[in-house]
Amino acid sequence: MVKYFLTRFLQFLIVVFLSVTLVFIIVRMMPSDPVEKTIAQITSTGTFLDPSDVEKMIKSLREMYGLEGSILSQYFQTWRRLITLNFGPSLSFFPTPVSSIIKESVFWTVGLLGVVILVSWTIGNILGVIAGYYSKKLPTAMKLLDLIFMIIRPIPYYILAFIFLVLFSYLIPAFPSQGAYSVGMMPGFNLSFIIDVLKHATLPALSMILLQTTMWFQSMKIISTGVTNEDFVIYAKYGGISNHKIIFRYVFRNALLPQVTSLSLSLGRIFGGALITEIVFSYPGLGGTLYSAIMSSDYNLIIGIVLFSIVAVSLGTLVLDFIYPLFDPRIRYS
Amino acid sequence: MKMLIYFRDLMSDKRFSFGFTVIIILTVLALISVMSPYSPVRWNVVPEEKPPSLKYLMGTTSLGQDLFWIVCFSIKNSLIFALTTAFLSRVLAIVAGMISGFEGGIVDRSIMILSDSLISLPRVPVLILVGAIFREGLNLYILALVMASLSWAWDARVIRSQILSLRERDFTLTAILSGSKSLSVVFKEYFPHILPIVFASTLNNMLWAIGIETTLSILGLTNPLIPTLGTTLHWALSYQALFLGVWWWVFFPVTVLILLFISVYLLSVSISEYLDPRMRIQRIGQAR
Amino acid sequence: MMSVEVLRTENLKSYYILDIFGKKKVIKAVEDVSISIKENEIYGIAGESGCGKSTLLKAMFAAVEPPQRIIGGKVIYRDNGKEYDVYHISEEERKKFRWHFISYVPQGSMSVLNPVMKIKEIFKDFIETHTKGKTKEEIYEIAESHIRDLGLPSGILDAYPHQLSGGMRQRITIALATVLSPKVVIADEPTTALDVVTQRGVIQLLKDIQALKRNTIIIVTHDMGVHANMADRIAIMYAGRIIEEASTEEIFENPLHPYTRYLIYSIPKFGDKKKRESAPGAPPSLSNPPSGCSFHPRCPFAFEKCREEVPPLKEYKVGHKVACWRVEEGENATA
Ligand SMILES: Nc1ncnc2c1ncn2[C@@H]1O[C@H](COP(=O)(O)OP(=O)(O)O)[C@@H](O)[C@H]1O
Ligand SMILES: [Mg+2]
Repeated sequence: MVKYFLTRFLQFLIVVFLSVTLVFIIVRMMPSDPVEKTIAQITSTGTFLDPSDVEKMIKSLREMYGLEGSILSQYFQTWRRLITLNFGPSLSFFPTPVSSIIKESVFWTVGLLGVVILVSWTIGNILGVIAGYYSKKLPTAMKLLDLIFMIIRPIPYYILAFIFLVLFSYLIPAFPSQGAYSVGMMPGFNLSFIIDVLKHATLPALSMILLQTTMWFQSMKIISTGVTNEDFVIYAKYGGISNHKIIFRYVFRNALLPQVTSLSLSLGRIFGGALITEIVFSYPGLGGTLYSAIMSSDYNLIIGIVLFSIVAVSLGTLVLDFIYPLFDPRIRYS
Repeated sequence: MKMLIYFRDLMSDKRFSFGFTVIIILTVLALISVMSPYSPVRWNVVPEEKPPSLKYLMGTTSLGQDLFWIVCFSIKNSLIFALTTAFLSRVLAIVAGMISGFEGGIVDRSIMILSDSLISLPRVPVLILVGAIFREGLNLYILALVMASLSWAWDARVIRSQILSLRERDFTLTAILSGSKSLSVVFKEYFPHILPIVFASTLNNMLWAIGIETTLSILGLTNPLIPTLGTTLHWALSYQALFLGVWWWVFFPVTVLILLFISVYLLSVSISEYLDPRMRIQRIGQAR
Repeated sequence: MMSVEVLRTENLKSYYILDIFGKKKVIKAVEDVSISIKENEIYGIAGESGCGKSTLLKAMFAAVEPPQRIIGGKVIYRDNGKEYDVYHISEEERKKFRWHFISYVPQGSMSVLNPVMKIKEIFKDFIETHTKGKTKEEIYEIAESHIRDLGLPSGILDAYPHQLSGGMRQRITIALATVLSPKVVIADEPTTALDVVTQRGVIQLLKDIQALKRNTIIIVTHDMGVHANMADRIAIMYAGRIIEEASTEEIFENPLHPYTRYLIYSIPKFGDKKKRESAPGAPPSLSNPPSGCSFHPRCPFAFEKCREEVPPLKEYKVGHKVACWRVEEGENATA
């Protein structure tokens, strides 16, 4: 047990170390002088900037891109920024610190993604275990579902989100096309605001839920088809135990273990999907914010969000790996 | 001969035959792009914004391009890109997996730590960062290289464990005792076992590659002058094609993309089922 | 001794019908098997691996799942003086016989326990299905007293399967199968893959159960030593058919079929290091069995007729049946 936790934790540290290094290297490979380019880009948008602000900005940029001090000290600088969660000021919302922008965006991403993962994992696994258990003679409705899921599954997040946007926001204007709430709405804990937020979240959430449900459905179907052929399930069938009980107490509980592992392995991909979906719907989570940062060449914010995302996802994976033993008595009791 | 039998078996799977047919059609479209009367990067070669007709099968764009030929070029580039990425990534996977499986010890452990990290690394933020840093400088070959180096890890693992299990059987020992050099052992004895693994995952890797390339391109994070299905959509969206009623500029690339994704996916599903002995037993069990 | 029949098969045929990418393949795993099993006996079935023993048991237990099929014949259960043709009653009725009338300890039964459930929960699921209106406590009580009766430690009810040794899991499975005191217990290779000491424990457990519950045990194993130790009567199976059947003593003292002799001589004796002689050649393919007597390609005494006609299983002595043309010829000569 202790060894399991230690290995996982060590792995977490290694992942974070390697990815921060990777991000550092990528940023250092930037062609053209980033500082001049950025300043030019910002001033060309016509934003008025105080000369002292420009000074500060140039200094912060030079630090960021390793133009100040040796490469090694810059590398440590990156680490310091990550550990203190101080990524410097945002360039497009100068002088708001990057960390407070991230804090605001995280709220929307975590809310959206939390609901999406919970709903799609539950629906996908329940439908999947039924399809797997009856895979030898699948009812027609299930066959149809299987076919539809097989067609939706490979579509990338962007394209599916885009189709949802065109269908349910332009062609049938049922839902808003962008943002997390209507412009001019005062955020607050009241019914009309909550309804507005839910309406805005519907399309991004639905498009992600649909894709991820197909993913969980298909892997659960394969795993539980395998479990259904295991001796203990066959024996339970011999014993006349009801299908309902066999599906949920025998097949589901065993097939769930690999699905928990798979959730922890897919967290990165799911998160990536959320970033992209948010971009399509200009949702003000990490993805939407990242895209507007890219559009305004706000490199402090870009790097801040990317570093933060990597660490957050690795942390999420670590947490999932830590609660995994709750599901598996074989690990719990060894 | 054996290949033919495999192919016939696979064609009896409806998913495979559908996917295969669509892929063949798309490949033909990619190939006839060499007959295009226009260069894909030239603008204003045909009248603007003409709806689909016999003359312009998929209509023309606001940039004065014939969408049909642009789509042909795009399919070609997207396919070449996907194949390049998948090829590079498989090469990395085979090299890493084999070294890991054969060397063992600290080399093995380092490679495995690296691959574990890559498996759990969220790749989309990293790729968006790459796009944001390189922008127009990001051509398809650099992107393929970056993507390949992010996606070899899983296969390297599978290959490694395959090699370890093969090593437990004694044929390596006999081959070494009989005097053959270890490199030729690797190729003769191990490749037949490794290739099927690599083959099925190649299709998945291609799928991922096209998906990412399309997404980055639509977002304007790649070189927009290289016609791919993603850059085509990028131009369409930045020219507000849907608001201006030029729906075909969006409709055809999206349709082709979806067909491409579905067909590659169906091929990969049916091939990996075919290669998985457990799934094969399943299929036998289903028969009347 | 008046012996009452409890289960019988009549010309039972069960095949595996496979479809491998459009090519049909039929494995004739059980061919024309007619056996009659009595109350309160231990009936052994022996034969090389792959000869159809497990298939026969599954057919008798009426737990046939595709690709296995019942092609012909009958399986009759006799319960409270009434006969039931199990393949002519509904699935619901068939289920009612399970655990009350007939139970099954499958091959490789160490893996029949759900790894994520405690042993007592597993017992509860099986007991609950076959009894009505019992509370959870009453059900646990049934399980616990049964476990105690069999001399197993009752603490194991709170364990998960992976915490138990292979031998203990095997015993738990036997306990699970017998918890509702079925009249017939079918055990498929219950001692295979266990070490010698554990094997003895399992054999003793089965014997104890039979003594305690006065029921019938049908035990399948390829290990003639186990049969010698337990069985009252033995049937020898070869390529899907019963080729000899007699009391244990008779089989060991006066084996008539050449294949039976090979089986008996292949029992290793204690301290015996070298492998005993087994029948030369390989067991026949069940998808394409040899013509005539399926043992003829390996039989040193085979003659013309053996290659052409299947020998019938005939009773030559009271209680001793054999299917062999040479025995038939010998009988004719002496008659
Ligand atoms: N599920 C199955 N599908 C196809 N063939 C099977 C299956 N189970 C058993 N067989 C075949 O049926 C024959 C008899 O098997 P089995 O009854 O398990 O033999 P035994 O128990 O005597 O070892 C063997 O040739 C085996 O390969
Ligand atoms: Mg068997």
